[in-house]
Amino acid sequence: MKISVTVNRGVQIHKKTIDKEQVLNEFEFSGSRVSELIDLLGLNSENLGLIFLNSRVVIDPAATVIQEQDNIEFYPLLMGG
Amino acid sequence: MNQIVRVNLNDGSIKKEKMENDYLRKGGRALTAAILHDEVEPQCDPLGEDNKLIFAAGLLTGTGVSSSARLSAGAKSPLTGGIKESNSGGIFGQIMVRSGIRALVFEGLPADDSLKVLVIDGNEFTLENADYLENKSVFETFQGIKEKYGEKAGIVCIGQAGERKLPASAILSVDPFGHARAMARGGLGAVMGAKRIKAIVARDNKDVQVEPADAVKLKELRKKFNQMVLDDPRLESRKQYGTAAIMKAMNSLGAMPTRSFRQGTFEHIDNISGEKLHDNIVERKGKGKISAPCMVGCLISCGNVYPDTKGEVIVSTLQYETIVLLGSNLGMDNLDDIAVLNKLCNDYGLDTIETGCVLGILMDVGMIEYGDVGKCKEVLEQVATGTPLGRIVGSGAAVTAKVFGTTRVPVGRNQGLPAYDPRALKGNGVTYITSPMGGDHTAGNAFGARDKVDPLGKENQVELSKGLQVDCAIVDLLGICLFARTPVAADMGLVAELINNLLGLELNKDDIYDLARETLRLEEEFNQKAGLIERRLPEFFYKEKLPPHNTVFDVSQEEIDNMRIG
Repeated sequence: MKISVTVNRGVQIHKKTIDKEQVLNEFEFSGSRVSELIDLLGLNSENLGLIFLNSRVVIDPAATVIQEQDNIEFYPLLMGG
Repeated sequence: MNQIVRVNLNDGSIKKEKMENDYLRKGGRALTAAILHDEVEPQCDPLGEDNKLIFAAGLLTGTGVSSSARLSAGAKSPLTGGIKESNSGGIFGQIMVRSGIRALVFEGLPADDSLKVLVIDGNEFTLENADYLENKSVFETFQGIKEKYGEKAGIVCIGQAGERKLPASAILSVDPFGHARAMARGGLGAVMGAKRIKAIVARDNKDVQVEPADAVKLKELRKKFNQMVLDDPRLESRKQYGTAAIMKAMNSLGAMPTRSFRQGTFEHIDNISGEKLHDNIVERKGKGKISAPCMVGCLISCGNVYPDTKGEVIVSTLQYETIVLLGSNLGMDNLDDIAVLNKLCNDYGLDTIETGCVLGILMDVGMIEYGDVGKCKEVLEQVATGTPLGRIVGSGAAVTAKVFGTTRVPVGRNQGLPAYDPRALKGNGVTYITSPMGGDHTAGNAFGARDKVDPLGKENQVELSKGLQVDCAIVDLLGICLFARTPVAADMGLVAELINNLLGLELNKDDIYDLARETLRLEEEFNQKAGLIERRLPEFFYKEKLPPHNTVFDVSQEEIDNMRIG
């Protein structure tokens, strides 16, 4: 299925922190859960903060199912000051 | 040599007191709460003789650990009508502690209207005439004081808003680079103005130094704590983007106040994001700076110096709350305009959050067009010159809404709401109406708990807020920055040991939690007696749906009413 994925600055891909936002439109994803997408993209889950699925916060990535045309955003660990 | 210094403004006398045992184990917000609870009649007029204005150092101030020099100010608030504590970075707290002072208490009211400056020079204290600073802005005051008392003096002062006793006024403290840091919330600048104290100056006297109970052990503990700060995975994003790191995430959450709380997202987010802030500073070079610390010894350095296109400084530091309240909330689509408004607020001594809420109301009722920075500047200038409109604006969001006949007033317990809409981050809504601090994100911010509780859901928000309020009270009583709370939460035993080896106490980790809960209880008791008991947001938060999620604030009122503080 095709989904949209945004990986924001500060997220670590294969343990390397990205300094430019990465937008993947029409990304082909054959899995079903957010946790699988995290693994597929090589995101460091220890460094991941907010994850949004269609603007709703994902509480449990392993239990959250992705569907065709979903929009997913990944943010690094953040804290309100 | 830990002492409380009391300045009696009725007769100008200054008295030093050795701290009693119970007060010695308290710092920051815990100490301001205890003194106000014990000594101030809760129903007193906040601007009258019986209110007291207290400045207190946190329990960790003097240990030398990173980010531990936040100075607390406390008084009965002219804005909320309840007890209030507000804190900031700056250099004053560290110099104050080196002088052996844990708290300064201003009592009474002077017989005449002339302004004074309290000067601290080592162990000497004098009240000096400050007529030359009358009607001076904050930066003019910094300059005037530095010329008289030296470049390195620690300064706490008010601007024109405070002198006029306006409830949206802040107290500003100078940072290591001469920029202003605000004890912004609750109108404590007005209490300082009522007491006719224009500024407090702590001269950087090298003859006085902190004398820890065990300097060798303290050094060892400090190293351990600081390493934990450096190991925090959030460190890099704080250095690069500061508090504004959360801008885009808040926008995605749909909880970012936009156009006077009518929307939760802003279409120009990319122009005002933390990333844009970072890139503007890096690209413009000149005097701009990322990673600017607000106090000596901070390893996090989340501040910034924001320059104009020529590289000249506009303001330091441009932060998340201000960017939202003076930005998206006013329909401002660029950081330069926001920075200019931020600078004016700092200079006149206004709380940027309260002021952003006020300007939003003026836009919502049609007095100013959204995005009209020129008109906003004119209105803020009227605060400084004292016109009737300026006085209304300086009186805060609740007063402004009444004057202009609107019920769309974004306040919690009469205080302008910070940059988290309670309809889309409901834990914050609970905090705004149950915290003794009123609408204040630093009293219990649910943003940090996003992976535990659905921010849009009704469930578990009360329990979440209750726990966060204790956590925030801990941070506030320690004098440590919210951004350094990771090591605090990870090892409270280490925190207790640091305090013990500084002050010669025997606290354990449970004592710190107990102290936080006791602080909240004392504050709540004060507020009950003061009559600050209502736990409701303004009506529109329950009725007007917030796009994009089209949610209202719907946490069970029964649960909120039954919530025990502390």
